[in-house]
Amino acid sequence: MGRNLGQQIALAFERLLDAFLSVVPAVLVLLAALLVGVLTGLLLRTILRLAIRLRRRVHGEELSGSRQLLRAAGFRADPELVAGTVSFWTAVVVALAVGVNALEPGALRNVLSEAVGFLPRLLGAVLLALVGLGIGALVRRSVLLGAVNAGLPWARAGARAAYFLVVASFAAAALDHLGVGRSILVAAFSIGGGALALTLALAFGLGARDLARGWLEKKLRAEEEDSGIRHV
Amino acid sequence: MTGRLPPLSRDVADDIGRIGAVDVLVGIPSFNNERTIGHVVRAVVAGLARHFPDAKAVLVNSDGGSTDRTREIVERTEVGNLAEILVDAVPSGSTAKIVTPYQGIPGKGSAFRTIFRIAAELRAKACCVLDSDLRSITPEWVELLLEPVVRHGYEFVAPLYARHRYDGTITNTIVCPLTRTLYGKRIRQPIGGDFGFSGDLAARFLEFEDWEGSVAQFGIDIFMTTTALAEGRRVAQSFLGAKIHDPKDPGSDLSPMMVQVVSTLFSLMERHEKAWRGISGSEPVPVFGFPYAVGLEPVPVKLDRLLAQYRQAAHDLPPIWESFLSPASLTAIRDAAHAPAVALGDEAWVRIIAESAAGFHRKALPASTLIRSLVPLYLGKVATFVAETEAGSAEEAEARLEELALAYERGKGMFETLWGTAP
Repeated sequence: MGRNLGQQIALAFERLLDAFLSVVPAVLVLLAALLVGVLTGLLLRTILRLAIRLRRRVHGEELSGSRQLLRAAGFRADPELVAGTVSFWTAVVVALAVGVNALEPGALRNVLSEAVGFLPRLLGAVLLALVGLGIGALVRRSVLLGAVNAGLPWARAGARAAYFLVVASFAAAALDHLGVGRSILVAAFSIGGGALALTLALAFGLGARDLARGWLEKKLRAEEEDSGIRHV
Repeated sequence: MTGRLPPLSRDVADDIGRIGAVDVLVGIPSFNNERTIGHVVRAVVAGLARHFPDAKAVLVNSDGGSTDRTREIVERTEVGNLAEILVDAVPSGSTAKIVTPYQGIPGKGSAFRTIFRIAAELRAKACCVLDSDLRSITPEWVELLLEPVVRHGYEFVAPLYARHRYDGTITNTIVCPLTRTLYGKRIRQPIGGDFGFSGDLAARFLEFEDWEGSVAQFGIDIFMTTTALAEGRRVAQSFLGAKIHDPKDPGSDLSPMMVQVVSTLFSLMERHEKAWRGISGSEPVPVFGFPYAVGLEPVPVKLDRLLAQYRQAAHDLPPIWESFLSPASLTAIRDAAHAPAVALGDEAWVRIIAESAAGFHRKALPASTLIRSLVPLYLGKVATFVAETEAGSAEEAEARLEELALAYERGKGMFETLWGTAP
């Protein structure tokens, strides 16, 4: 019986070793793919940096359109750095996807496929969130300047509200892209948007009817009168 | 010519072929000016008949697609009995007219571009341009703008108007003193709107390559003046008396107009950097015409409104200003806002303009954002000027503006230094 037990244990270890050895090539393939991805990413990043530096040398220190766009959106990051980082990680994700596809069919491949398959969506969601932050910053600044130059007292609050509205929209789009709480998001936005519009309409048009009339009259009169100055 | 020429219609090409060449050309840009353009055309025709009876002249109306009777009025306006209007002059013949819509983005600059093209095609020796909403124009304006070019060899004539102290405040606080400081010539109305210039200079204007930007709009006036100054052309001024517009003035919409004028001014600093660097001080520019006192329509200023806008901006806009203004300027802005009566001093104002120009140059913010954020600061400076001068005489107000111009001149080194370190 003792010998039989020993044989069973040895057999189990043998099966474990077989299973382990069957995974090693897959891991090696993945590591190789990762290495190729990293090297490709580094190469791409270097080429991009060289191209950007060459462009700068040709056009002097003039700011490129991409940097202006980033600055306009409130980002201080160097476009060289942004382009390098994006290209590097794109190469790594593509290499990983290729590596996973090269694996033998099985549970490991399924798990890794799902994990790697999620990465592009994750990157897409991050990109959406960043674009949302950028557009939000642009909208906030534009609303703030427009409202201040129009002499509206709620300039800062209005700009902040516009910013949060834009960022919330993009955040919802990013979550939707990830497939998180899709139906809840749609319902929340519908309810929130409707409630906001109704609240504002009631507050301004009904609850503060006199204030609304007064404000509109004052605004229209002010537009007619302005400051009295001829500027040019 | 390096720039692409604005297209001309077949009718205009036929008119040019029929007319051949001209001695003088008068251009009038227009857009829905049926109320005033007839008066301007009559003044021009009378002015040409009286002062240039032997010259071959043409009047060009470059229209921006008016939906009223503007073009019809230009075509049909007859001056009436010239013998009665001119008293002592005998009119020679009728003035040729070319009435055409312009192409390009809507704006005064696009209208001028077509006028420059027609001037070049007609090989005009001297040209002038006049606003179509003028109520105070007289036939003498034509003489005063063309004569220095035709008979005295000047290449560019800027207008000199008698204006109320609160009329033309962008000119007074930014454009006039900055142009004087940069290029060293005391042109009082660099963006006056009515100019005389040689045919050669018209052809030079036409060579400009960017007619899609602010030069195609309100930036055209400062573009013309700056080009003449930066290229070292012979420049003069002519006293035209009062300038009275139609009440509905397109230039009254402050933000877009300020963006167009100031962005052109700053971008021309980039274009002509070699011309303005190293110039210190300024010299007067000859004045034609006989300056006389004019009873000016008062400009009622709502000081409270200016102050409120400045104070609100001082509270709300520092996060934007931090992109291009120094801590010293931000402190000056804050201190002025907290003062009982806003007092934005000359030194602080000049530093703000110098830092804004440098910020524009290094693209710290998009051009329109940067300049729109300057609007309330400009209103603060105007409020300061109003508070300082409302009790004094017109001469005292003019003397105060001279002090501001001298502050700009003292700050010239700062413009050069800040500009040099950007970007």
